Amino acid sequence: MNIDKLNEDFRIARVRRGTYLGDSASGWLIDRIEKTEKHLTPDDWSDPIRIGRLITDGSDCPPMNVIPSDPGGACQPRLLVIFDDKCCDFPSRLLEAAIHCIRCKETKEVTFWTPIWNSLIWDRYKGHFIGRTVSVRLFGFGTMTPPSGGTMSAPTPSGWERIDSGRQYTKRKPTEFRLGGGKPILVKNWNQLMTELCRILHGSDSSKFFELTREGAKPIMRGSRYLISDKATGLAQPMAMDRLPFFMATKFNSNNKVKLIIRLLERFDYKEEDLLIELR
Amino acid sequence: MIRNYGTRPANQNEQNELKGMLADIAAIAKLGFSDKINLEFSDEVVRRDIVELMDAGLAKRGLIREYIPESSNWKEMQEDRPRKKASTDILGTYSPDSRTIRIYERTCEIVAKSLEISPDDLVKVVMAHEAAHAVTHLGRDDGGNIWVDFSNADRNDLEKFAQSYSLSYLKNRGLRNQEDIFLILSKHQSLAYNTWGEYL
Repeated sequence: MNIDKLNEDFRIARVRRGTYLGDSASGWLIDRIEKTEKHLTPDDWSDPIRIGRLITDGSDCPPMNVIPSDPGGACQPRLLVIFDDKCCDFPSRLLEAAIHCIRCKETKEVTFWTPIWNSLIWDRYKGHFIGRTVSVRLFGFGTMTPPSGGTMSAPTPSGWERIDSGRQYTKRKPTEFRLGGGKPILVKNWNQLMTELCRILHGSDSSKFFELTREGAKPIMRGSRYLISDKATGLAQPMAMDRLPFFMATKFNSNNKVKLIIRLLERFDYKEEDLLIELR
Repeated sequence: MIRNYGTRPANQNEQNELKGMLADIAAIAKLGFSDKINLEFSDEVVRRDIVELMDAGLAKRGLIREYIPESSNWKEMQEDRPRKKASTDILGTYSPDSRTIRIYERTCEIVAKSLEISPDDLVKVVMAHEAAHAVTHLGRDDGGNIWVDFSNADRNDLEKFAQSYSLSYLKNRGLRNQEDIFLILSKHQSLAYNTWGEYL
């Protein structure tokens, strides 16, 4: 066997999918920030690139992206964002971080290190950080927010709701959805949401999607043998999927459609909270 | 309703065998490995697994009736179900949270009898696969890095490396019977378990 190639692929996969130093990368970063802060003066904040180099200098630094920094480098599971000591730079730095999160799906933890904070501007961008752990360290105050020193998840923006299998969706229709922090997609009803979702999932792994056509409809639906198939026969009220060679059973109520959506998410290793919907 | 059987901890010989596997696989992957991995054997048979085993051609209906008579009324067994390859860990599991390998002995026995292979060798192949999961999770590279986000990693990646490293281990140790079983088993498994070919 070609062990060298296997080992190389393994190391790349591990780094791309989240390898940190030991079990305490968060602790490492907080320690390093605290140590660095002791030597910084207010003037240093005018050169955040230099501060970033100070933080990440040394072989013990876990894989991490830093904003601002020199261009290039692969996406990492951790992002450190250092803000200037100027109020006018706050929105542009936050926008840079949001763009980074859109581009780098691997980014799971974001730490903002800043001498200032503006909640109104954060409200504008926070939707791009959903599903990631966000921490804020305010320079000069010495504590992480929230005060426990822990981390906080980015809150759901107003209007968006997490899909919930325990909730009743009778007489409710979705108007928009987004998956895993991706672009919002406008829809008119549950059927359209399901087909659009299928199109995204099929694009991510077509062979896995094909396996769905072999899955039985129970317990979601009793009157149909399958929920998704490459043939219309055997499906209850089949609907052709837009731009896909598949059909979907649609003769069931909105609560069961939500159950089907959750089953689709599970099959593709998404969690319920990865799907946000806007209802009317 | 299927009866749940018991779970037993591994005996000293089985633990030593696992320890050897972990060390060998870590050496192949050029990783340091010193973590304690628990090993246990379970007689539990999960209903969903039996259906999956039958679908994948890994278990004959008659044998299931013989081993688990209380399962014989399942409607699924009467249906002409579409065949699909096995896609989950039904013979053994590795739990990254509790760092425990669990081997489903009874399920292994049914599969071994259905495929006419040695049950002991099958258990060792399963153990090597799960040991490879543990090594890829907790093995430390030169920088001391482990795969912290293992639980959320892409399943295709996890199975590719577990299969590739366990096959490398069987080849390195010259365990021809177990290697043959690995190959027989692969034919009944889904694509995620069959991507090791690129390293041959």
